Amino acid sequence: MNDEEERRRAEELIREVTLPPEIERVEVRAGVDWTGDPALKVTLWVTPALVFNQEKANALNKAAEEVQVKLLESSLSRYPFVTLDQAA
Amino acid sequence: MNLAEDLLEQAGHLAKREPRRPRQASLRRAVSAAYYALFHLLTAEAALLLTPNLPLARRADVQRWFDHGEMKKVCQQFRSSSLQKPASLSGLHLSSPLQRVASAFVNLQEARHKADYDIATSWTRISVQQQVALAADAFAAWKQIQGTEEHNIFLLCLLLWKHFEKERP
Repeated sequence: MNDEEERRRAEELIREVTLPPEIERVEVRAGVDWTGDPALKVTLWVTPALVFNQEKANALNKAAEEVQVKLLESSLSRYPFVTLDQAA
Repeated sequence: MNLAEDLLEQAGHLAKREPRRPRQASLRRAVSAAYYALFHLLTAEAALLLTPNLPLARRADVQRWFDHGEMKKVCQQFRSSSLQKPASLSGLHLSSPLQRVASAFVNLQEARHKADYDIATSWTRISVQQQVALAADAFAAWKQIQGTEEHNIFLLCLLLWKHFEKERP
């Protein structure tokens, strides 16, 4: 698969994961990690309105982990990095 | 507490500083501390496993043998669903806690590089707290497998993977 095919396949796989409602957008980019190895950079964008507490943080971290496991267990060749972020 | 635990505590502290408007410096140092907490946890235990009779100061020298990039490659192998095991590791069982440690190490190392060198990107508290939580979870997972065969082999692989790789069919 080329970069774009791999990115689209990752998006399809992520759609199969039930994400918390606080995640309003998912961004997937094909790139490289700091050593130059192929990587998939996945950002789970959390709604700016989120009132942060530990319970929410745990749920969001769990969602990020589920996305990463889903991608790791697929046939994608790029290593997935999944991060949470929040628009200002 | 040892250095690794101190760094993890420091990461948690920095991630929560300035509750209204966190400084980028605090957030970036939190990510870096979270990574180095796990790095020191693993390399200190590996050095102890390899050189149990050395005094602590000399074991610190052994910790310098470990290469960040090589450790990342090993962790990616252990986290992969299709680890190509060398012959001498063929019967090795990879538990979920070990895979969590390996995964956290890869993620934290990438985040640490971004935090320390990519000054064009701003960090948010939520993204930093994710990294600190990853490190804390890795510490908890590591405790679950201490003293097991996979624990020891994983530590050896962090330093000697290239030699194990030669055994691949």
